[in-house]
Amino acid sequence: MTPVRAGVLGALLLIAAFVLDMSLGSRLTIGAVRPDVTLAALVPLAMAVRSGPAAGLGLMAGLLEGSFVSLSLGSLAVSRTLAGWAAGLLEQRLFRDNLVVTMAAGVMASLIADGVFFLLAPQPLVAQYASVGLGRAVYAGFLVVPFALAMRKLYPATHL
Amino acid sequence: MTDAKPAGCWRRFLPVVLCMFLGTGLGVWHNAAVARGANDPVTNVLRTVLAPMVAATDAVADWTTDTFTMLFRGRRLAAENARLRRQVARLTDEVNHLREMQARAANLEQFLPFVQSKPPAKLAAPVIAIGPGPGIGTLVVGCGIRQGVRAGAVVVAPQGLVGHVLDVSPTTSAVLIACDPRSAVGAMVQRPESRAIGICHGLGNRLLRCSYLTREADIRPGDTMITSGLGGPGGIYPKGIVIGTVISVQDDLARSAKTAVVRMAVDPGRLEEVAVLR
Repeated sequence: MTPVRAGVLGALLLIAAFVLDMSLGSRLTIGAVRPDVTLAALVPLAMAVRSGPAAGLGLMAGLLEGSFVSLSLGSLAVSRTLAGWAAGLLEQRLFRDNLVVTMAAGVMASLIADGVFFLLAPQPLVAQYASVGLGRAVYAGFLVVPFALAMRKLYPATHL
Repeated sequence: MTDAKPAGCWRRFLPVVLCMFLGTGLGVWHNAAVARGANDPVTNVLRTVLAPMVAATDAVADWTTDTFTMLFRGRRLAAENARLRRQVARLTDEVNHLREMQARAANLEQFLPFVQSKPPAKLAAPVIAIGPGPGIGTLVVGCGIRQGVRAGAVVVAPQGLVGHVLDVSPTTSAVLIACDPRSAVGAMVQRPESRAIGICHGLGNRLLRCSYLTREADIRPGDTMITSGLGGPGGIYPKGIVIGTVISVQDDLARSAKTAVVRMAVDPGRLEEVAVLR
């Protein structure tokens, strides 16, 4: 697969995950924890490419989410950029085909995304935000699994 | 060897720095556009293109859920149907009674020198998406500038208040839900012998905190809170829309006042259709 084709495929997958997020996200809510399906798709995608393109995919995820949230678009874009970039860095250091590594990366990326978002756009209810953020991180850890398995089929062991 | 390391470092960080600058710039652009009551072109394009896809996926998910529900929950649905029929009968009786009261009130109003206020027109809109952001209570509805929606318009559901429009694109609008921590609504106890006035701030999870109630305010759990028509961003909420039910009341000794926690009548997570007041 050429790098351009891989990049276009990644962008299309991210859009598909975002559409699923918007239509199914509220149905998958557990308690107050609504999963971030877009971020869960971003993590294995970012781990399949290098950190540079991963940052671009993160920016795209942030803009997609921000366009539907309307509030804090810039904060969402920057926080997802950093989360995608951090997951992309793992690609150069860890064996990405290990599902446990991918799950840990999902938890880490979610914590980075929500943590950076909080720094850029402080939330009024800190304790509630923190507890929901932890729940989202755990949820993201499990939610990356189906995406990681799909990514293995779509992305062979080549890099952008 | 010594030159290669900084160059590699720079190459590694350049994309993420560029993306962060781009994200920040787009965010600033978006905020400036929203402050003018409009929307930036990037958000407009993304929302206009993706909203139909989200709506279609949502419809497929609804159909699937309904089919499985019919298959596996038939008996429970029958019981629910019977309960709802009884509820409809009771509500029909209540509506008839209220119609009679309305007619009598209209007759009496003729003798009062009050200014008659025209109720706002309602525009039905499907809920396309419920905000994905962390700690943010927004939803996207399927009507926008083309349908005559403007920023600040009030959004309601049959059960009561939903929120107000934050920004509009040609075919969609983003709505800030009343239970979002950034939201404030002028509120009043509906009970005629109380009519205590306060301001409801969002707490998330369908809850609002009603503050600025006087210490003597007659408010108790079970009371229905309605919009007071006072305050809010530009005084946008018209009087008389149901906000929710009081679930607890506390004495705020520090401020010599009372605060109450209100559960929204509307469950934003289950909304399928709303009405935008014009």
